[in-house]
Amino acid sequence: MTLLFLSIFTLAEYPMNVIDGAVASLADAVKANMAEGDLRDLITDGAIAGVGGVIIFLPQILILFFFIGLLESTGYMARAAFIMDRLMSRVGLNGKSFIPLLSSYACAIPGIMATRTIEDPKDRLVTILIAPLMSCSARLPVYLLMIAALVPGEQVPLLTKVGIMLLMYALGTFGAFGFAWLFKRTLLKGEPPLMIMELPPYRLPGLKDVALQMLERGWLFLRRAGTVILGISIVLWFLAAYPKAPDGATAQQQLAQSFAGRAGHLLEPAIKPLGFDWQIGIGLISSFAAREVFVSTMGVVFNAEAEDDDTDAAPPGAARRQVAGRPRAFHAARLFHAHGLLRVRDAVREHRRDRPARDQQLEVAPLSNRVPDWHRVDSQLTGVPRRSRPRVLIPRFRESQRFSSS
Amino acid sequence: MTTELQTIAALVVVALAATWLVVRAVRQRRQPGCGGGCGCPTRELKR
Repeated sequence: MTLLFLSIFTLAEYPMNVIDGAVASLADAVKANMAEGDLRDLITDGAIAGVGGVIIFLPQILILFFFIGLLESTGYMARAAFIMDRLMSRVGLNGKSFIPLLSSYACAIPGIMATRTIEDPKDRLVTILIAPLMSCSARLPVYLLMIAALVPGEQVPLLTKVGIMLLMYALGTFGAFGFAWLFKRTLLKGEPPLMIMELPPYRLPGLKDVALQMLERGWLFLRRAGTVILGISIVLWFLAAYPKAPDGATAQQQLAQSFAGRAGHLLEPAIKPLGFDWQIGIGLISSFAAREVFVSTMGVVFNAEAEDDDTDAAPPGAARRQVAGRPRAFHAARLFHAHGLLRVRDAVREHRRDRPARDQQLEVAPLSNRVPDWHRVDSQLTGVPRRSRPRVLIPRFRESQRFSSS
Repeated sequence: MTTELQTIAALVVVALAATWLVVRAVRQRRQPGCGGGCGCPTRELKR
């Protein structure tokens, strides 16, 4: 994991600077070729600053999924589940909970869906409850922004940043285990069941599969940046730009008296004890729509702030640089995101879904959702026909991929 | 483009974006899901 995070910081630095520069050049080009006005501000301070502030993290997302893909395709993940069985049993769960929890590092939704392979209802419920505490990939840009805020620039060794990233992931993981331990000893008491699983042979990673998975995740990230985040950035620009302040007001004064600023000020008394100020409050409100929007909101908010110091628009990466100097607030924001409070919404959504729709979705789940066929293994070992056991749906092309790769 | 025209165009873009977000939210409420980005299948794939 240390190597993974180290490579996220080192390998991604150059492409991130390239993207940062390209986005800043695009904003400058729009500024140079358009007359001053609201539309120009919307494009540069809203759309480009918001989306640019998020897509800058694309190289790091790609690197993360490249290494996760490598681990999966070598057959290491199944062994990790087996090794984790002992640790999981200490908190009252078994190794079967490991795969859903591991899936939750990519996204909690497939993680929660994968819990259906756990037979014991109490274990299943505990796993569902703790899955949102794992640090999903959408939180990676938020964490990186926070690290940039806490330990800015070159003053701090790279390993310290890597260590902070590890701590953030560890905070979510150990928090989840702590809650599992608590649930299994209070509300959902029960003995941890035995674990039987099939271990695939070790094999050389299929680089094509890894590359496909990496590109798929990258495309999903970009699509999200180009749709939801773009839409929210545009609306957020409006909320930060209207109502207009009197002529001569600074950008900071404009932001303070805008709709977004008023909402932030309204929320400030509730979040002040956490160390948040009203600007972070704006980010927190918007991040309920999507976690990454926190980053783009900071891009829009701090872009407005930057105009106080410089008449030129700050580049989209400015959010990363300008949030420095607010370590206490960001420490609190880190806890807010690391503990996945936002994911409660996802768990509720998943529960609301009607069963046939969920089943249908799992049947066509893409390759990244790795759900092992526990019940088939069980039925082969015990001789009990599969039909009499709870129905388990396996992704169709997972099956075909499994046979073709072995 | 004059300042007034830019203001009108910007407000139209904001209105379109807000409408799209609202429609998307309503559609998602009817057919819940993660909203993409989590590896769940698209509507095309479901078909």
